[in-house]
Amino acid sequence: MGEDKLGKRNLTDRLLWIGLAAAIVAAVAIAWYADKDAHESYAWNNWVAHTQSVLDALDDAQENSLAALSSIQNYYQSGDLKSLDSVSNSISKLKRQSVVLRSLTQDNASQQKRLEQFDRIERRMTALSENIIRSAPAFSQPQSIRAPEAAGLSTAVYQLFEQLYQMSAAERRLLTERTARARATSRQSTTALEIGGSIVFLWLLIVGGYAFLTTRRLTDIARALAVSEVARVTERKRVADDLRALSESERRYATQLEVVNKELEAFSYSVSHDLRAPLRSIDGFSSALMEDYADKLDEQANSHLRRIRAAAQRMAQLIDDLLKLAFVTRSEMRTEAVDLSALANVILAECQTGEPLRQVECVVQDRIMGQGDPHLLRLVLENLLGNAWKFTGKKQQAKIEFAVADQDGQAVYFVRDNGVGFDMTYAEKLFGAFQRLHAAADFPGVGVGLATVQRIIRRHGGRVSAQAAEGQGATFSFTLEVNHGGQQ
Amino acid sequence: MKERVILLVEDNADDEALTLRALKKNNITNTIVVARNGVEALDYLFGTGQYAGRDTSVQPELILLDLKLPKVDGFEVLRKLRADERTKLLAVVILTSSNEQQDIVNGYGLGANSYVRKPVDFQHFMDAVRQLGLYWLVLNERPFAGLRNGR
Repeated sequence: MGEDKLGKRNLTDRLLWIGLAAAIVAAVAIAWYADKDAHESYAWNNWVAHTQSVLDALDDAQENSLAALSSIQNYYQSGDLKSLDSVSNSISKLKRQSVVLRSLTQDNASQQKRLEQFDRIERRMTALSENIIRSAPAFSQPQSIRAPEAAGLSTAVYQLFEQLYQMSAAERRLLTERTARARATSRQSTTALEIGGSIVFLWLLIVGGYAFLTTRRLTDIARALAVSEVARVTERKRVADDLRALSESERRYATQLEVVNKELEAFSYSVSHDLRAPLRSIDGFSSALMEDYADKLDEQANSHLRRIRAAAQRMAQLIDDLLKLAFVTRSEMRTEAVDLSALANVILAECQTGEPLRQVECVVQDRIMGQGDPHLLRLVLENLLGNAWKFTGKKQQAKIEFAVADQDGQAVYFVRDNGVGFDMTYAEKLFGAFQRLHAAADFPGVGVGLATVQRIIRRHGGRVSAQAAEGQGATFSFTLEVNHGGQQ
Repeated sequence: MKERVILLVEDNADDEALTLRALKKNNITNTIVVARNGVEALDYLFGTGQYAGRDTSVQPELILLDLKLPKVDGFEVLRKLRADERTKLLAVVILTSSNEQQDIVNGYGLGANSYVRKPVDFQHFMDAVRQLGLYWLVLNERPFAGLRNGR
């Protein structure tokens, strides 16, 4: 889900950049287009101005033509030669204007043609007016008016008018057209700028808005991250505090445990030293009585003393076993590979040494290895094999077996004997301290052995169990720590 | 011939009596000097206190040392006698009630020659004492004995 979100964010980021790029490209294109239009518009405006100046020149020419016509009419009515001077003056002006117009309308062939016509008319006018002046008398008389020439001049002026009018009309058409073009291009440029600007603005609005939203989202994310970081730091601090508290309480417990262990050790030490001394006295002096006063004691007295001594010795055994049990609980454990087969053989050999006359068939599987404390595992086997030895004591063909079996990938060690066994009804009592299923008179013991075995096996993280039937032997099986047992 | 002394360091009167009985029953005829605490033991060994003026060239053939003692305990006695030229080679057998591993390790660590636990069963105790006497007083060769014989 996190990756999906990430992909989405990448996509939107890409879109953001694409939008920005598009906005820039659009802006440049629009600027270029608007600039081009503006240039065109400028050119058209120049043309308009040009046309205007042509029209102005044409107006000037018309004015001169009018002035010439009026001078001609003056002459026609008065015969005054001075009027002809004015006509000549106007004509020379028209000549200059023709030159100006020719240069102004260089680009326009039809206007140039009209100007040629114009020049011809103007030359005829010049000729006519010169003719009149040449033939004029020294003084002015009404009858000497040269009417045909004057009429020719008038006609020529009219013809000039005609040319000028046509030229003006053409220029005016051009003016209209060019003005329209100038306006159009100007409008185009403006429109392009307006539209383009709008588009760019819109783009920027979208992109900016998106960027703003994204930024805000990023800010939100950053804030959320900051908040979560703070939470994390707080959490870590809390955990650290908890751990410190825990380690403190652990330390306290460890200290308490140490104190308890020290006390237990002191207790054990004291018990092993002091509790046995009185027993030694009881046994020792009972024994002294029996020896020193043998002649004075009857059989009853001797029997009492024997019982006292036996009780003292049993008590001593009890103390020893109790101390062993305490040792099993408090002793430090080290774990190593222990050759259980070798241990079993040694223990059984010791049993045989203790009772050399007994014939017991001992079957020990070779190379049974177990992970655990060598000393404690020896105690386990001492107890289990010792029990087997003890409870097969009344059997003619006693058999004791030590082997290992695989049960669901776990090594199960077992000690089997064909001794007296026991009633399974009382099986659960078996592993309690000082619990006995047989009379001490039949089988000696104080009932601490199996309790010791159970404690040791539990300390190794294993289980111990028993299977038996009365008179048909017993099987005690145990496991060691699961992760070790499975590798055997 | 100088007397051959066994120094019994024992605070328990019962144990003292029983030990003496066991020694006697085993026909061990050496002079038995009993010290009832660590201080007495050291006084005897170094000729101080109540034993001031004692000829310290005469040292016990065997020391039977209990560990739990009033005032100065057995370990301290052992440490001190092993540190002194006059007594450092004496045969010391720790004879005590406990079979605590720490006691055994400490005892040997401080230079005890043997560690014997007093059995509750007096017959067994008798047996132990008999074997001790046989070994340390008869079988075992002592450095002082050789020197003394040489003179």
